[in-house]
Amino acid sequence: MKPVSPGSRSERRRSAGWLMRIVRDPTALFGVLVLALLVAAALFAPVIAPLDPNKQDLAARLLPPFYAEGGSSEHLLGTDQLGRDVLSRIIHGARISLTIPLVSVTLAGVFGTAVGLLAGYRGGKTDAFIMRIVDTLFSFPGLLLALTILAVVGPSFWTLAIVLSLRIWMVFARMTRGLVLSAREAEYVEAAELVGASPVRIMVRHIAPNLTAPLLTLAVLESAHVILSEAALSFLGLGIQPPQTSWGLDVAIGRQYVFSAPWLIILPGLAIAVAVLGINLLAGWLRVAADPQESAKRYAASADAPSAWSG
Amino acid sequence: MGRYLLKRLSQAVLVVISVMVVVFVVTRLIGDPVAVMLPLEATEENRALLEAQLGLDRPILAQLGDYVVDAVRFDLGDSLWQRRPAMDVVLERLPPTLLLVAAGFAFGVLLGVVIGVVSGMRPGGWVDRAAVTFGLLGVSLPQFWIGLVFIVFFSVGLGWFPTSGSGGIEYLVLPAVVLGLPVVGRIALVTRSSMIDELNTQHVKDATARGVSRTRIVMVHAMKGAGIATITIAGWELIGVLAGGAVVVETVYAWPGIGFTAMQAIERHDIILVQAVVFVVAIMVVTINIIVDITYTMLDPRVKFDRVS
Repeated sequence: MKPVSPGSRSERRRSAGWLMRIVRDPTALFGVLVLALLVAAALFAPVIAPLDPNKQDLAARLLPPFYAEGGSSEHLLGTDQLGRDVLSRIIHGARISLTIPLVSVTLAGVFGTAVGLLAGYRGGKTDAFIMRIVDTLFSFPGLLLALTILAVVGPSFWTLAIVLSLRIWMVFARMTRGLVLSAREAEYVEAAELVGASPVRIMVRHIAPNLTAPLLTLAVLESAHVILSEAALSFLGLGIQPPQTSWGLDVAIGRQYVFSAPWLIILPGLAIAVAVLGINLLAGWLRVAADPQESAKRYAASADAPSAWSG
Repeated sequence: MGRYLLKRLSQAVLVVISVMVVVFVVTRLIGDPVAVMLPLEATEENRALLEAQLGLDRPILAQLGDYVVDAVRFDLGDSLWQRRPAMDVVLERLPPTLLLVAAGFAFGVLLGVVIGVVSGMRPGGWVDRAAVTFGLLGVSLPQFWIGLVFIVFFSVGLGWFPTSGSGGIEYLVLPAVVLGLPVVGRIALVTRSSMIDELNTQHVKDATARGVSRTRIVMVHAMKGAGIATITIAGWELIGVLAGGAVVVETVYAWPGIGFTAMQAIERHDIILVQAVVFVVAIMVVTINIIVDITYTMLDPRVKFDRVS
């Protein structure tokens, strides 16, 4: 990654350019639209959802969705074993499934970046010590350890968010350290050091701008991992607990009705898949767009250039 | 080479000990193992008895010392659920996991390399587009969900495979494929991109100019370079399959390996058995790491043993 010179007066023009690029790229546009839809669903769940996600109606148990025989428009996506509306549960499920990555990635990103800055800037023994810990943590059996911790501490929203952030902060630390090391070698940083700029000033003014784009891309990519982990842990019974709703939790409930009501498995899982797909498409596009060299290659190419993911 | 190996081995031991210390701290200090293990109606006497039995009434540092020493001797205590050494239970359930992981991993790597090579030969072609889409789906779809959807379609719908359990080869097919799918995706993406890079290198161009056949160029010249990237990522994938995927897939298919055992142990509040599973998996993970490092160093003449730390 080549360091970008800090500060830019044409910020606004650039952001308009970014928007145009997203609109022109079908895969990125799809990702952004999916995410916007999910965020809207999460924010306005009580308004959008046709029914209360926890309202039971035993007379309307296990009703099939509209596409199956016997489906009705009253429950578009059918009902579960307690007669709860599947569509409403999926809409409300977006709240947990999107807040968990937001919280975990923020925690991990802030902590990991701070550790990476410290290691990269101090160098020497501090760096060696920190990176030894980071390397050790990378060899931990992540999911199994998360399961053990959650089983002992007891699963809840916050334990889940913290355990998931413990699994990924090292990724941010490692990347930040690498970026700091390469930025420190840049001539403008050397020049700033020579004219006597303080370490804090060098850090904030000259090094930090190089970190923003790659770290943001990483954060987007890691939120996809966190969504999948949250879903898997909730599915295994050690994540989100009822009466809260989560897509992974709903798939676990549907598991008992694999013969009679497969939509209870298929539909909430589809929500997870679409969310993760959207985020991955956006992350793939960001990775290309944030890298000036990749970006030049890509946008100089013809209209049928390969998608962001093949870059 | 000898010194390098020794260094890597000591690092590996350090990793396993750290994992066990983390588990120790979490179970003894943050959590209350006795409360987790005992039923709700347990009396104070029950508590005291179990605490004494597990040595939890002793000073915490003494406990930690004993715990590490015992772990080094492969003694992790008796499983509360099975009432026999936890290590015996884990070793008994290990072969099914190894079979499943080997089958899933082999499927994932073979299909991934084939897709990667074919799509890397013609970037932008239809095979390539399909491969990239497939790779993206492989990393985006939740594994437990694919597992259940496969049960819905192939077991319940078509009746081709049993829904879960173990026995003949027909029980292995679905879990192995589900375990391997994310591997297919990531291996294909990595092989593809290093294939494209390799086909653009000078020595491949020279070979082409000398009239070496296309097949030979791809199979011999480009594969050599692309192989290094693929092996490195394959090592990571194997670790992911073992420490993550296997737990989920075994639980979905009730496959009697160590992942499913860990989940059963958690349900029965058998912390000791869970610890034993974590211990064995940690050992396997560091072993794979060492093997990958050595293979990588032997394949790539540019990397020297003493420079890798």
